[in-house]
Amino acid sequence: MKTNHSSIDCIKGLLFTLVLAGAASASAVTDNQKILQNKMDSIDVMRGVEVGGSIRSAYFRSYFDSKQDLVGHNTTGDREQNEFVSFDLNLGFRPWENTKANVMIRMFGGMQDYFAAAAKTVSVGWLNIEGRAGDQIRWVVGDFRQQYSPLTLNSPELELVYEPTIFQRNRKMARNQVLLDSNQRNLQGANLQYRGNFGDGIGEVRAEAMFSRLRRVEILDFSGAMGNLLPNEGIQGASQSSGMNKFLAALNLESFPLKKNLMVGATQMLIWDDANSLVRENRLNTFYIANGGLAPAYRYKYGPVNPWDTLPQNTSVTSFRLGADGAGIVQNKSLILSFTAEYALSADDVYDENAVYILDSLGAPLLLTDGDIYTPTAYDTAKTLTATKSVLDGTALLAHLDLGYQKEKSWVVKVGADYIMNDSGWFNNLAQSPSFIPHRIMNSEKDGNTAKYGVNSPLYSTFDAMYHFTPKYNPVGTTNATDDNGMMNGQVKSYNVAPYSKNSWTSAVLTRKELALAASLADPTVQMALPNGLATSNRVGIKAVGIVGYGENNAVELQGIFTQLEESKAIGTEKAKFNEMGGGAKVDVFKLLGFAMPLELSGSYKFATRTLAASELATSFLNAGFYWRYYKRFGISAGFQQATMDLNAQGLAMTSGLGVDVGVAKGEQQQWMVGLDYSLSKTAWLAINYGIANIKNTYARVTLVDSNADGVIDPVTNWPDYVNADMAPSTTAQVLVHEFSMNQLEATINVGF
Amino acid sequence: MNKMLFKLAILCVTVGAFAAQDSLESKQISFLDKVTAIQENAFGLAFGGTAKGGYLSSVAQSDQMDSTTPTSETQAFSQMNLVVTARPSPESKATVEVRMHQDWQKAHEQGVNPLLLHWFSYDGRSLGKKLQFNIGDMRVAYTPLTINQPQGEQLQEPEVFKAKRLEAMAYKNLLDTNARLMQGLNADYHSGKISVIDDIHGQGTIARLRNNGKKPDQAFFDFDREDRYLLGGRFGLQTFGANIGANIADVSDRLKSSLNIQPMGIDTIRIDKNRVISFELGYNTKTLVPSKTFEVGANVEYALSKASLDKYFGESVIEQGTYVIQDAVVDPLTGATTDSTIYVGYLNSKTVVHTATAPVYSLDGKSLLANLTGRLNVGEFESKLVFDYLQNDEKFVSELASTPSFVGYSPILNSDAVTSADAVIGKFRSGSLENMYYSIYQSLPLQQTNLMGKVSAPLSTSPPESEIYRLDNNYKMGHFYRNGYTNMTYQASELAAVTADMDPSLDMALPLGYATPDLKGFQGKLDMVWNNQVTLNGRFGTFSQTVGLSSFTKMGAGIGADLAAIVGYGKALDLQGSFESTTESKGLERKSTRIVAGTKVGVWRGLSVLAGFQSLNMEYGTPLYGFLQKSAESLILAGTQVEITKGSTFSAQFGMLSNKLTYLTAASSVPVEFGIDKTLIAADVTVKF
Repeated sequence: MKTNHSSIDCIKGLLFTLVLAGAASASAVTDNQKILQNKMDSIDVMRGVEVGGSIRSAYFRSYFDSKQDLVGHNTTGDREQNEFVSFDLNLGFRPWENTKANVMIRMFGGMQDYFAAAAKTVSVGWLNIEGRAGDQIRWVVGDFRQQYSPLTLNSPELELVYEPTIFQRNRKMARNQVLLDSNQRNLQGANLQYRGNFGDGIGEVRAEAMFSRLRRVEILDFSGAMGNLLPNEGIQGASQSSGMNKFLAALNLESFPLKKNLMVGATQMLIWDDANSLVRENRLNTFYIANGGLAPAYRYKYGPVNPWDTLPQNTSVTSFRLGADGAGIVQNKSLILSFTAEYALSADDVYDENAVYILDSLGAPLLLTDGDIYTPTAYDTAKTLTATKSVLDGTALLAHLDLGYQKEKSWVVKVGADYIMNDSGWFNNLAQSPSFIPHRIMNSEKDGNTAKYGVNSPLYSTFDAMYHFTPKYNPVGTTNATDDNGMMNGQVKSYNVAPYSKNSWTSAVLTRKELALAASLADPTVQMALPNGLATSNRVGIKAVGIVGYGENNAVELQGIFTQLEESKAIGTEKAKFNEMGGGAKVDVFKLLGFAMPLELSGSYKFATRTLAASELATSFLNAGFYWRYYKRFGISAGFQQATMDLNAQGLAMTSGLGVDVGVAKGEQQQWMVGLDYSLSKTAWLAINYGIANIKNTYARVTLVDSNADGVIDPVTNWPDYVNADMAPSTTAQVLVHEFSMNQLEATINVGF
Repeated sequence: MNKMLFKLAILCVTVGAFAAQDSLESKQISFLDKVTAIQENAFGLAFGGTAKGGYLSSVAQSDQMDSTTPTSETQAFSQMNLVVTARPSPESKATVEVRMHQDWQKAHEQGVNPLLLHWFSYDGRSLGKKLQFNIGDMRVAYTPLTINQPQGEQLQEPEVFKAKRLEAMAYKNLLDTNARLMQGLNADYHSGKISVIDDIHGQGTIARLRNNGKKPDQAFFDFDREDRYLLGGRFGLQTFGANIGANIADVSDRLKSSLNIQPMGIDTIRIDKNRVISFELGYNTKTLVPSKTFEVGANVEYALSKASLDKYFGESVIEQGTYVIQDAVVDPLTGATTDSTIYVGYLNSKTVVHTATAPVYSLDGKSLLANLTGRLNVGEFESKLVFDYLQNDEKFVSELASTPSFVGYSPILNSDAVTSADAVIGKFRSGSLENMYYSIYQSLPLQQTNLMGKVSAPLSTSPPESEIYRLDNNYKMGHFYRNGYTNMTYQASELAAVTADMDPSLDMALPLGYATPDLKGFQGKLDMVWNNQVTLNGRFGTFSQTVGLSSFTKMGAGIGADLAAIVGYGKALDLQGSFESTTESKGLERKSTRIVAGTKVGVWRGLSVLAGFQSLNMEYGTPLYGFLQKSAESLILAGTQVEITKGSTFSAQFGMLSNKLTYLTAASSVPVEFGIDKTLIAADVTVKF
């Protein structure tokens, strides 16, 4: 929206004259003066509205099939079909050249919700105010994204080599849905940036400061899918409810002297819980009630908002960075020679927590009882939680070298290598919180309560977790009651009565306990060596990537990867070792031949192992992709992926996981997909794809027990319910091989404007 | 847009020529009309509003603080109030206001964070701009005795305080005016000059004041069992400086709407009615003796009110019948019925019979309000005197002129903190100054503790736990506030009860404005301005009850100086101060004393320093609620404000809030003291667009 400046100036001038005149004589014209002043302000403001946004519309249909559900024991639907439109409307209001207010209003409509107006939601997804003072200072208050360095402020991303376009697009959509953008971390608070250029010698100086509230005092239901890493689990890190405010304050200084060919930088970050804000609340004492307690005095317990996380975080992270671009210094454009090193120190308050039972005179735990019950019964044991605080210091070192040679628009050879030395005490949840916490997405009702265990769920698939998302899923109750109580009781407990968002991608900043829990739920196929990115604690070793390219924009490219890491401190008696090796290639055949349209072929293979003493976990990941733009914007794409996992007998013996009763010895996943698309740009397309994913899990040998002699085995948590129902008790150990498939049809539209 | 620009250009020329030859006031008015006309011709959508990012930390200290209680509370948020106007024609526009609020956290992906649509109106002018109409949300004022929003006055309120008060009020859609917030239809007609008649004025208003709760949710208590409507009208005429007028405001419950709520056996329906008719007569010298030196006006309003409360017994008669359909097969040999299919159904019908009982009360009251206004300008001095005489009998009830915007007594800051004195003085812990200047606004997952408080255990039997726990939904979010202002109108039968629950500190003598019943007396307000640089205010009033025992004496004085204009300083340099006191003799024997001081100093470019101090002492000769004897509050606020651009500011503030209460306990006859201090740190950035 533009305004004619000369007219505006003229009218401003007149108004200004009248306002001044009014100010001089006061009295009867005072009211008019105020109105005129308002009008003048209004006209003086260079009003502008910027409109943008993105639309993600998807049809995901997944048909679940397992031949092992012989008699249709699992009666939930075989087909999950989601159709939705998510429309992010970005409005930017710029009243003046140097200030702007932005809001993203997210409108969501599920296409099957024709009769349910409530299913169409309007939400505030992003809200901030930004501005600048001159050309050097910029500020943002509200939502913002920021990245300092891999060890300080960073959002770790999965590293997939030559991921086929047909799959990559879905992953982008899922990430966009939670507003993730590259390795930047999403925060809310105030962010101030200074950029000053002091000539070639001193170079550019960057000074940045931020303040953010990471977590507010917030009471959340323990059984909801949202706000819980593991609904209803009742263990540390499961609930993300917070009884305290958690803050972040950071200062980042960087200088780029010698024409930006050198870099020195330092960062100081403080992350703390305001212990004085610790809130307690009354929660229903379900333990007492379940045991028949009736006395009102005991029906509610006054205690911490999150009983599993009551102690305040107090973390300091200090980082120093140094870098040099050797090629820039010698002014050789063909040479690739750059080096950066970062050394960071962390100091974090850790607690040794003890539940100390209140004992009676005989030394027995004192029981909470009430007088209404004839026989005194234990409803909850009286206990006090004590904690001994100590400071855990940690260090992290990350050195990166890029070395290579290139001939512009012709060929390139380069190696990028990282040396990582992060000790076990190193902690920085602003750099370690992963952006991928694998979830069950499609056909999750088949899992029942085990859906919440994600990677340990019997029907889990890496591909499903990475490439599918449903912003608002409405679980079907096992009873069709219409009152709230009936709905609650009729739901499987992992996601309660709520419609919820199914997405493995997250911008959350986790606590120490949540990080530990998330690590135990990480998918080893894609998150084994460095589940928390380059800031993963307790790792020493190297990680290298070599690339050889030929042609403009590397029309032909070969890539090799190599990682060799080990724990810096053994958790048990020995240190775990991590090795990754792989390589891939991509080629744009048509570009080589001089055609304008692309015909891309790509493929990669990665093999990774984790060894701990005699135990070994081995995974592999294979990608093959095809993309051909055959007419203007019309294209054909295809992809194939295969992921395997092998855990040897010693590894199986050590297996214990959340929701895991019997370990998986061998996992095989394959998926293929073909599709047609209409592409406007890399971020705007319409695609229709079809494919099948086949998953085969071989479990450890186990003896099936029927302890209550009812003819049915004691259920194994990480086996599907139909397997548990069909397996007969045995006196000898046997192996279960479980296979299932997901037959997928997708139609997606992704448009940014 | 091009059309508008063209008009702007034309306007520049015409106004430029016009400006040289007329008085300043007429220039202003003419110019305003023209600018307004240009704005009105800008059809289509327009966006405006305010965006804000803010931080407020309150750390509370008290000797009586529970050791396990949180002492620190922090608000950190970003918020936008988006105003969308759509103008389909020059005469009318639709306005929608949407509030978006995010409390900062990145702990987890939050559920749907809803937008709050808090204003929807269609306003315009018709009949050659003589008829102004409002549909939807609107603010309406008739006269002080019929439809009016009482606003307590505070002399020389420093800017640093006023901004916070207006912000707290804005969250309840309240402005600092006497117009009452309501929803409905309002039409206001002014004829303009017709022959010797200066103006004929007619106005009609229909509003639904309450909507009965179709589903009496256990968590909200603000539903009513009946719809409540206003039918209002007024007529007036002005000629030769004299004016006469008649006004009516009729408020009543609609009996049939109570049927919407399922009768539970025999239930009681309360039908509350209030009708006020007033007549006005006035005269102003401005028309016949126009003068810049003096102006005298007088207006008398006489009002008759009728308020009644009737109870109806809603008797639910449930008729239950059984009907049977037999699909029988008769054995031709034996005649016996075999293989019959029997359908059994129940036929229910409910009949609600309303039986009126004897009225609970029926009150006929009257009120007389006379005011005299005088303005005298001599040299550089301008003075204005307003003198009010009020005589209300004890039966006068005018609910739409009664409910004040400030009611106080809400927990605002550190509401999760628990002190050992809460059981007794919890209601007064936050204090009047905190209620007046602070408010909390949050968007949180809907959870029962947001509605009922984290500290007190929900009752185990009422409401049923199953109903409480259905609110345990992390994906559902709602907007919540803690705010000492109200935009609702208490109905006549509630007024007597709620008046005792309202904070009396702002205007003890006239807690319900000019419509306060059982009051007789006068008050005078004198404002003097010297050279537009120094302002003096004087207030004095005395009122007494006829039936009740109380008599009130109120007095106040204030001074404000624009020192920058006096000493020739190029920036703002304002000083303000005031003292106000109200004493109630006999009756409850209360006394309030308020001292206010404030300043604003412009330092450099858009940088200003603002500071304010306020102390409020309340004494209750007859202990309030039987225990509260005294309260002593003070608030110090100091901070800087930087104007980034016009209408956009950075501000940082430091404050200290103190509240000391002296009260009686059942255990001891010796008064007990309770004190709580709060240290406040606030910073925000606000952008107006």
